[in-house]
Amino acid sequence: MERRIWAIFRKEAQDIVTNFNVSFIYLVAIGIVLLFQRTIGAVGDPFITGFGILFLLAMGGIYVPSMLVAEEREKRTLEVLMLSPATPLEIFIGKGLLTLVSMALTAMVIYLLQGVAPSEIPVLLFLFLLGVCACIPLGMVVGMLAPNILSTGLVGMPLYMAFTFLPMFAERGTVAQRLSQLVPTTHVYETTLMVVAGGEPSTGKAAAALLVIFLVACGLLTFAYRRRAAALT
Amino acid sequence: MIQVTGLVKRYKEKEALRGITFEVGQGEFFGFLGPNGAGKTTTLKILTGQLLPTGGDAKVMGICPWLEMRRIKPYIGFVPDQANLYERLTVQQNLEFYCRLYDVDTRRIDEVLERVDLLREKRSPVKTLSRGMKQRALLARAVLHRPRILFLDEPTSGLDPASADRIHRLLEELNREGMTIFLTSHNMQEVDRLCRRVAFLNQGAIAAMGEPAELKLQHATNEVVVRVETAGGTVEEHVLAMSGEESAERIAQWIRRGELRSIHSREPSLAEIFIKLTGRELV
Repeated sequence: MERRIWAIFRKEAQDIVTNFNVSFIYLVAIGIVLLFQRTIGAVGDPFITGFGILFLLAMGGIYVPSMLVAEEREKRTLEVLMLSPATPLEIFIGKGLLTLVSMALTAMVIYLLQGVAPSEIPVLLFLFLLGVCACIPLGMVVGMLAPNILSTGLVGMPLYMAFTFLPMFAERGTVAQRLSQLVPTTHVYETTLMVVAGGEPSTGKAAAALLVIFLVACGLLTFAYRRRAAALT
Repeated sequence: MIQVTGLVKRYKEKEALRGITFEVGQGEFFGFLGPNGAGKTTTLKILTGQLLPTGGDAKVMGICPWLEMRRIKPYIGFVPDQANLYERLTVQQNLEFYCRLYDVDTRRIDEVLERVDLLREKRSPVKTLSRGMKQRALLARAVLHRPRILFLDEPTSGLDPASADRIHRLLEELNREGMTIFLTSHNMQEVDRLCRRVAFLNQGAIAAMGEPAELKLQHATNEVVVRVETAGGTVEEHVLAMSGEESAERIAQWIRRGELRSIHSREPSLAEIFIKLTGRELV
């Protein structure tokens, strides 16, 4: 199993280097941080770190896995992949792992650009990766629902919007506040803001919430996969 | 190697397969012929475990493909009708990926690439290859893990004659080495040249099955084509009944006058047999 997951991960890593659609998301997240540093704040501004991470998580966490799945379907490479000894679980893990690693590297660049204290990086990165884990299955669901690569943007739009804006408007009302707790980005965004600002957030509570969202997302992915497989057969 | 009994597939109101039954023996080159929409790809997808049948039974190497797909995977190779390699990766990277999935030594890559005459293109991104090259790369990928049965879905569709001929020679070679080949096609010449046995599929049912020569004989018209050169030097073609006084007398006359140039029996092509049996063209 590990061999095949590693094979899929390695193939995705080779492919991502020349896949501009994917690398563009990471470059935009870094670009936003650099732009904000020069326009609305300065290095170390908690909002810039928080927003950079929020944007990366909302866009990359959903968009990258959705693209990887939609492209395999559109180019019909999934057909042969499914006939190989790789199982659907191994395919999902292999693809998810690549998203996780590439997102972690981009988040590290943002932390370093923002001068986040090295002592704070492990906890921020841990929560960020939990957030990515919660987003990946949802991104894969988008990839399964979208008929082609181009429409992943459209199908995933409600998620991109909700994951980006709900955390930012959480304090504007009770409904927004409650809804924001359902999206993983809120927990990562709020914790990032507090840690960078020198506060002491409840990381355990955030981690538990992200874990629950991750499990629900995995359930949704399983449901979507089974529905899709049943429709195809 | 393949046993299919009363296979049925329904898509809502459309019946794609209507209880087809056939067998393919070990080392056989079997052709599945039919026009678009006849049920060829549906059969192929069921036999490779990608699709569930509505009824009937099928065994590939004694294994039910849709119930035990994992067990069957190492034994089958598949060449789809459309190139589905990772376009941004090189030929080598594509094959390395499948070597790792099938746990095959990567040294096998050079061996298969040499065989399909793509060794020089090994480091080229797939997107830079011609259509014929991509099709050969697909074949290389399909045989990388030394499958026992190779399924091919219209492998030369849209290829120029030279590229198609190259694929045909490779398939003949693989079959000579003992690989069982199941080919779906609507190209009659291709099937006639390659397959030891063929089945004609029409609207989800098998209209005829047998060796191409045997089918031609069964549907022969009992006619001869005679070419004669007239006194003016023009060559005329006459179709005569293979028996009867009239034909015998006319042929004898041409022989006596020294006008006979050629005479041969008129065998129907597989395409003609198909049209005769189904009333449909193979498109």
